[in-house]
Amino acid sequence: MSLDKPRLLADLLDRLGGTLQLYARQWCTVPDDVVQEALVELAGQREWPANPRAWLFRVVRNRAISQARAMQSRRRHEGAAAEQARVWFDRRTRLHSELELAAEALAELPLELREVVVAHFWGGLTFSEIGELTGTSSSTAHRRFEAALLALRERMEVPCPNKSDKTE
Amino acid sequence: MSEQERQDRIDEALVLLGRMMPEALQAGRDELFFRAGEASARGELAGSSFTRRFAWPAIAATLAFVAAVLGYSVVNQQPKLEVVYVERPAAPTKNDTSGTANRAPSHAPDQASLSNEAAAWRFAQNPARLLPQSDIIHRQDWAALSDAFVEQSRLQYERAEGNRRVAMTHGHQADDYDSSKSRRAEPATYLELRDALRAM
Repeated sequence: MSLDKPRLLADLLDRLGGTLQLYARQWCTVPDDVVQEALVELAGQREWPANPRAWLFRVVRNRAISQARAMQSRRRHEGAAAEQARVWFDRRTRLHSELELAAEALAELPLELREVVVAHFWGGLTFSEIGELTGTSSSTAHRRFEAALLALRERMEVPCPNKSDKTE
Repeated sequence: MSEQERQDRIDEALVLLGRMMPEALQAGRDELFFRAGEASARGELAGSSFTRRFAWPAIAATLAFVAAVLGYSVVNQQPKLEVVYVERPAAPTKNDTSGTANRAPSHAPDQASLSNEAAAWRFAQNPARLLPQSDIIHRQDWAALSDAFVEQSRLQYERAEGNRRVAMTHGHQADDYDSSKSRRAEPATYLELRDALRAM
């Protein structure tokens, strides 16, 4: 198992590095440091966790929250989340105006909804794993995911001038 | 909002999210793997098993406890008293003139040695009183002088006591006997000692 550690670590870094960074961004302003520390901690584990993906998300979440508390910047960070959202995703996303709007809309969602979206959609965690991660049930995680998508879609919806005319 | 319309909105949001890719991790890959390898080696060495985690703390705690107990016993150690019973030497009787009867046990100081010590003490106080112009001292050492002094004193006492008894036998009062010699004070100087010895 120890011989496969570097390969497994590289695989996790390639597939989950960006997602974990995005996940850590929900709390702190230095997500890359948090993800690095989590990966180093995973490498230092004598017993490899049964589910490294869920383990990494939990460690990143705890470290990000601790880091945010230490810097006492969580509220300010949440207030400025919309402004930073444009760097959450890659350059192709930033160049597309619609996707940029979607990123900003995602950043404006409540934290409980955002983290479920990131963990399930990009992280690939099941709702059961997300429930364990957030301390809720799987049904609650599923309900939050759907609520986040509906809210995102609603924020992205451009008010139709015809509808407004009709209402008037 | 109908269920179908709700599901359509969710699907549209999912499509929108599917077009968004999280930014790549901004971390030095080489540095990360170096630190990961370091941590892995540390983890292999330190381990997390019960034995490796608790062995050294347990040993350290045990040794600390033993050191504390030993230190406490050393600090509070009472001196050991040894009681030795010594036989008291019998008091010398008046009729004991041999100097050997009822002698105290060998480990008890005898009268001669006590006299020697007294003479030695006096000599230490003022050696000039006894040492000068003494032919005895010139020939003998201090121990011999002391023994001679004690023996002469004893003979002087016996002679004086015998004279007193003779005087009382012939009807003289004991006070008639010229006891100035027997009452003479212990010679303090060599000259007095020589005079006392010549007078006997």
